[in-house]
Amino acid sequence: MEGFIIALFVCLILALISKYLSIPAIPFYIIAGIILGKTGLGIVHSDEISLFFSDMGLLFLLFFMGLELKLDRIIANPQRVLTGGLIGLTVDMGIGFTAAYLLGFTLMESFIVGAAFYITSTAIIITSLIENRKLMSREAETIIWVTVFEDIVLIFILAVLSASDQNLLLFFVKIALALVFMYAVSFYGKEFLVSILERDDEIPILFTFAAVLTTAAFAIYFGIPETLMVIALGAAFATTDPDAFEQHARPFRDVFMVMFFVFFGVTIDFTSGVDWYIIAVICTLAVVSKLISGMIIGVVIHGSTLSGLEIWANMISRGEFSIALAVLYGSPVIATTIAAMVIFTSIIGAFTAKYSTWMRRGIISRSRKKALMYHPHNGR
Amino acid sequence: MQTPLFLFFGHVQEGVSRTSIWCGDPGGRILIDPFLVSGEKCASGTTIYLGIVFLMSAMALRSVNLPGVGTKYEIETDKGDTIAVFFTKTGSIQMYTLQNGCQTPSAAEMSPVEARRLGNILTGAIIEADQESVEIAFSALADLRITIHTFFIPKSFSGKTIENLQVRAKTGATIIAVCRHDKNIINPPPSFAFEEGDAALVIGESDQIKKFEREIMVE
Repeated sequence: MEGFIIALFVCLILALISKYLSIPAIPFYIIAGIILGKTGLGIVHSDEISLFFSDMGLLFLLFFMGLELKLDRIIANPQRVLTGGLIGLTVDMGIGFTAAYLLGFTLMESFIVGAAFYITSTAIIITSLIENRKLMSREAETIIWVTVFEDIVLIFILAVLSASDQNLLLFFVKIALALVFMYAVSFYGKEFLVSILERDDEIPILFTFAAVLTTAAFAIYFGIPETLMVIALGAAFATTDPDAFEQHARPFRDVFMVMFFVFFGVTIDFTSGVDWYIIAVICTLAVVSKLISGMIIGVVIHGSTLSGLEIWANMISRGEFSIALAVLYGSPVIATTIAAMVIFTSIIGAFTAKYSTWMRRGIISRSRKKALMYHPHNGR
Repeated sequence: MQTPLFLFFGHVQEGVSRTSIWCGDPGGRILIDPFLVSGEKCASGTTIYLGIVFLMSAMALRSVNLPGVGTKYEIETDKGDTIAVFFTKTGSIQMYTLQNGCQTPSAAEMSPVEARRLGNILTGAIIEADQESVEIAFSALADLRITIHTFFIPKSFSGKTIENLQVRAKTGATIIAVCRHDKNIINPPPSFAFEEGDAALVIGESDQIKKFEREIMVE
């Protein structure tokens, strides 16, 4: 318990520093966990309490993702989401999977590494778009839709990974029934839900918390992945009053997520059995593959490599979803690799996102200079 | 037969600019028929109302709800400049302006209060920067225009009362409220004594306000 409080306090200070420097806090939380935990000082150990908090963090992260998942809007405008999303999926997932497989991971492990390698951090990307004042650029909208697509892919990845050791038919029937139930509740109970959310006492926040936990508990009881069910709950609730749910779930998510990152860091062991060669390759490729996919997206959607560069600069950061995959399905080796990749890419990504306008300006002015220096008639 | 002229301000639609004639019967029921002009005849006894509909020309307003970010409003002006406003989920408001032909927009981040202030400026209510002024026009009362203006009381005023300053006699304007240390004194009596740093709300016609500024404030 003392360790837990120390971790909480360290995180508070780190959060202040990261906000002051306006860089994402996620890598700092993980580093704090690593320093306090197994690899470093060994002050903080994960126990039942921390495990519970980490689980909460994951559940609320996914519930929030579900709330943001407005399927109707994607269906209304599929082309925009699909083009960029599919390019990112094939390029990044392809490179991540192939690299992991060639580095000696098994097929299943490579799939997990590839997925963690592919999925960028919606939290970091959107915060950095807002903080770096890039919302207006046409690339920003493309980036946002690509992250939405990634969220959908994540749902499929979670479904595939958790379905692997079950009777498939029964598994999908159970999921379908749960989905029908949740959508029916939010459809027929819409007025009731809205009336609960509109109250200004403790009921709305209590309800939100209870709904997420109950869903998770029932999911575990019926043998279906609670991660998927919590996302589905979010998506179903999004049909009622998503803003209210977001408002009530945000405090839980914010606090538990920090715990989730710190205790992920605590369990990471960099001292033994770590192949730094694999980590270096994965980290480098994580940046390079986003450059390739970003360039292709930029050329295909905006017809410009400069746009591609901008997309790359903003989409390097991996974060919460990669870690979630590592926590849920990763072996210790995978977890260390993904931890290193998240720390590396989110720090690099913070800088590229911040200075991408400068890069862009540099490239433009250089090409202008070239154009000025170019004298077609001198050669005669 | 008289033909009253109506001005309709229709719902703003993207990129449409047209003038149409609306035809109505005496019962007040308006038949919307923009094609009436093209030679069709009205039944006898029908009053024709000429309604000119200006759908704001080419002002394309686009609003998008971006998942995770918030709502985006984008306006392209006639001259090709673009203005985008984002209401982010964090509560801050970001405004971007992009000059026609320019690559990188410039941005400003505002709190909701600041945004409301900016909105007031854009609608033409605030005239000066630090001293706010609101003009209200009552078009039914022979276009009566009343201005409310805030003035910050300088040091030279401290201790003087409204009576001493002869506000009403000199300018015709009235001090209707004084704001002192975040407390408001509504309708201060003539014996009210000012302190340095007070903000006085003065109401009157714009000429009276100008007079107040010239004769009282400058002294």
